[in-house]
Amino acid sequence: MREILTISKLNNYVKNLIHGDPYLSYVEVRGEIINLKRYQSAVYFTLKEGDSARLSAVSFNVKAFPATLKDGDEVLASGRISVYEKSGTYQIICHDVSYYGLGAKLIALQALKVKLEKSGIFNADRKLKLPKFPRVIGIITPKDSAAQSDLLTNIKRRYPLVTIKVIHATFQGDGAPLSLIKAYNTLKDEAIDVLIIARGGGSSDDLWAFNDESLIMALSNKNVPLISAIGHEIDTTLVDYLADVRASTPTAAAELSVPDQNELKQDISTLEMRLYSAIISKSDSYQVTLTNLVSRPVLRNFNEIIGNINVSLKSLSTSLAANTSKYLNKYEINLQNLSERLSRAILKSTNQVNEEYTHLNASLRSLNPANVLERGYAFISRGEEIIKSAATLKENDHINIQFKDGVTKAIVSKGEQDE
Amino acid sequence: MSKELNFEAKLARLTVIVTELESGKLSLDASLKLFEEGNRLSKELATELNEAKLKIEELQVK
Repeated sequence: MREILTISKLNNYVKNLIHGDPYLSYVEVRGEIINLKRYQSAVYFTLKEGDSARLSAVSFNVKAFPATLKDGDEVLASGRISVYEKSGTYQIICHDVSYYGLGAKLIALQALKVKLEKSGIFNADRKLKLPKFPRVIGIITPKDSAAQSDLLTNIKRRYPLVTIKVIHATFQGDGAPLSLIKAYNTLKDEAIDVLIIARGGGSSDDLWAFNDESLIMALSNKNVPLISAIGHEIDTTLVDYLADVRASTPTAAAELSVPDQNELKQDISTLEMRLYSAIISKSDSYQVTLTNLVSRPVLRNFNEIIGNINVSLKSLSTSLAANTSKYLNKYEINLQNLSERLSRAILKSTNQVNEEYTHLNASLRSLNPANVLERGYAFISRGEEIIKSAATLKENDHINIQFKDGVTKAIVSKGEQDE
Repeated sequence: MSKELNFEAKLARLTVIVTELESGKLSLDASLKLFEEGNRLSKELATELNEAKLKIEELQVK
């Protein structure tokens, strides 16, 4: 007949059996934490594997138990399996509990981010400004990616003046950071003005390469602005923190990197309009100057002025004529109106100046004393004084008679006053 | 002269020319010269944009 056991004896037997098993003296087990309870002397929790299995756990190493661990966290627990005789349950007595998988990566990432932030490489004062008119853009992207075609299509549409240098890299997996570093090192030796690293969206696990410290350190030596177009807004990677500008998509990166040719064409048209307006108003103002000149008292420096006007008129006519014919037929449709104004103004200006010159010349001729003398008149002076009236002359005055061909000196034999 | 300038420099030069002309301080002769240069630049800029073809080079990792 078999011995009837007490429960404590049975539990003690099982406990000894388990304690004697070398395999169970140290195990590593992974699971999700639930029912976490912290006490001064111990931390109790349950490890759960989906809905299929649970394991009680306790840690007496309270100080080493991660303070941030909470229900729902995926952990790796190591320790020995033991039996709690009072309840007849077995449990793991943990030496060590730590984040597992994404949890561990996130903790490490947080620590790395803090470290890099302290080093200053993410600081706003280190951000480089994007050039307005880049000549060469370097692009690192996965081979045959939607990101590459989005970038090229949009850059081509906006600003085809640029040269693109594309290099392909692996963006996922363990080899990705090194592949990205190599791609960057190759591009670094090219004379690029902007660097774009672009990929499509994906699960955040696919972005781990962009949190790699060696990649960040390699990129931190860059001397051109970096646009990151790596993932969605919510998945900010360390490369995004390092980037000078962050784009939400490859298309947005294209738009940030180059100006829009439609806007540029508009700017050029506006400048052209202003250019034509300025020259028209210049020719208008020159017309005014000539008009002013014509109405000035000009007798004093007659020859000089005639000479000057001749020269100005000649050069004005020449340059106006040359430029009128040169530009008349060249205007764009949107400038047609302006062009007509310009040519009208220039022609008007030339014609008017010609008329005014003719008129001026005629009036100057009629006023020129030399022309009067030419017709057989003479004038009389006494010293510097021009004699305009017989009343001013008296007997024995020495006078000069100015003919067209010379001066005759004479003495007055009888003045009007002398009678 | 403008042959050697790139797009950006040409656009900057055109802007300077327009501003100078608009100031009205230059002689007619100088104004016409600038006008001529500006007109040429604006045509060249438009042509460059219209005729540009995106150049794409594929590099291999060293």
